[in-house]
Amino acid sequence: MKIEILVNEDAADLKITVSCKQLTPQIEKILSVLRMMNHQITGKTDDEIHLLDIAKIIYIESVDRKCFIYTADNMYESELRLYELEQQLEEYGFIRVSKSNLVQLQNIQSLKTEINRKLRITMSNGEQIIASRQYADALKRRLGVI
Amino acid sequence: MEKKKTIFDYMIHVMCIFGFTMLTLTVFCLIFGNSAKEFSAIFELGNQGVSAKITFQFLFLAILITGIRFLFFTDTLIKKMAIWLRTICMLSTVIIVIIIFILAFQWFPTDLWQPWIMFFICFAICFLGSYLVMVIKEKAENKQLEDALQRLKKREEKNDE
Repeated sequence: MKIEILVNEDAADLKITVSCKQLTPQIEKILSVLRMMNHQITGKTDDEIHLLDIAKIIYIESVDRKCFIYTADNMYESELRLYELEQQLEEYGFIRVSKSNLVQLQNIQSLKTEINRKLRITMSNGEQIIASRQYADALKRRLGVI
Repeated sequence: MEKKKTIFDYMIHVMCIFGFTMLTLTVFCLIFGNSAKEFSAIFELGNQGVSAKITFQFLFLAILITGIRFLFFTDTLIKKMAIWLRTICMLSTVIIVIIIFILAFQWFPTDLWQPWIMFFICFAICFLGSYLVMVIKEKAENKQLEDALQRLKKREEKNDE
């Protein structure tokens, strides 16, 4: 892979051109990270690639090393791993609540305490996610209650 | 990262139950000890206090109750069970264990119905009291979480604008 950076003082806007023979998973990954800077994320469904608005994501789940992005009306597969999405989406109000779930704080509808200091999170689409102990504590810290 | 519970955490729990029970028993001994010493093993020393034998029986009971609580109120052994079902299971098991102790150690005359009625009334009062405290505490925690969530959402909305 060759990386070329052209610094031009007269350039009107930042332009990134990716030149390749074909779209490989590696290139898809690079594009996903770049799109996140544009408040968008790529998701695949039925072999179609969609550009999703980050604000519309309710939660992200990792199952068998694959990441699935849930919006109010659909589910998309992501090219990125959960830890990569966590790193990229932290600044957009996402928080890890278990080994396999990342939720968008704005889309949490309610929180309820469970046994063993766990938390039951009800998302805006009615989906319920259990935050495990160590992540529940991190969420409480973020909320400012501990 | 949350600190993992150790054997010392469970020992603290045992000591809390044991300490509270012994304190209550000592008060009962001072009030009813002399009148009850003829027919109850618990009050055999009258208002002098609780005997070492009874003390160890109650310590053993506190250990068992902590074990039952660990079984039903953690997900170490039982992964998925509704809280109301856990409460019922724990309550039933604790009642059974206490009845076994009453019968085995003759804490009161088991052939009379009055002591049994008193036992169940005392148990119901203690259980309802602690259950009420638990419900109030849970409601307060949930409200605190809900308020904090709303505050955070508003703060993040402002940051986005």
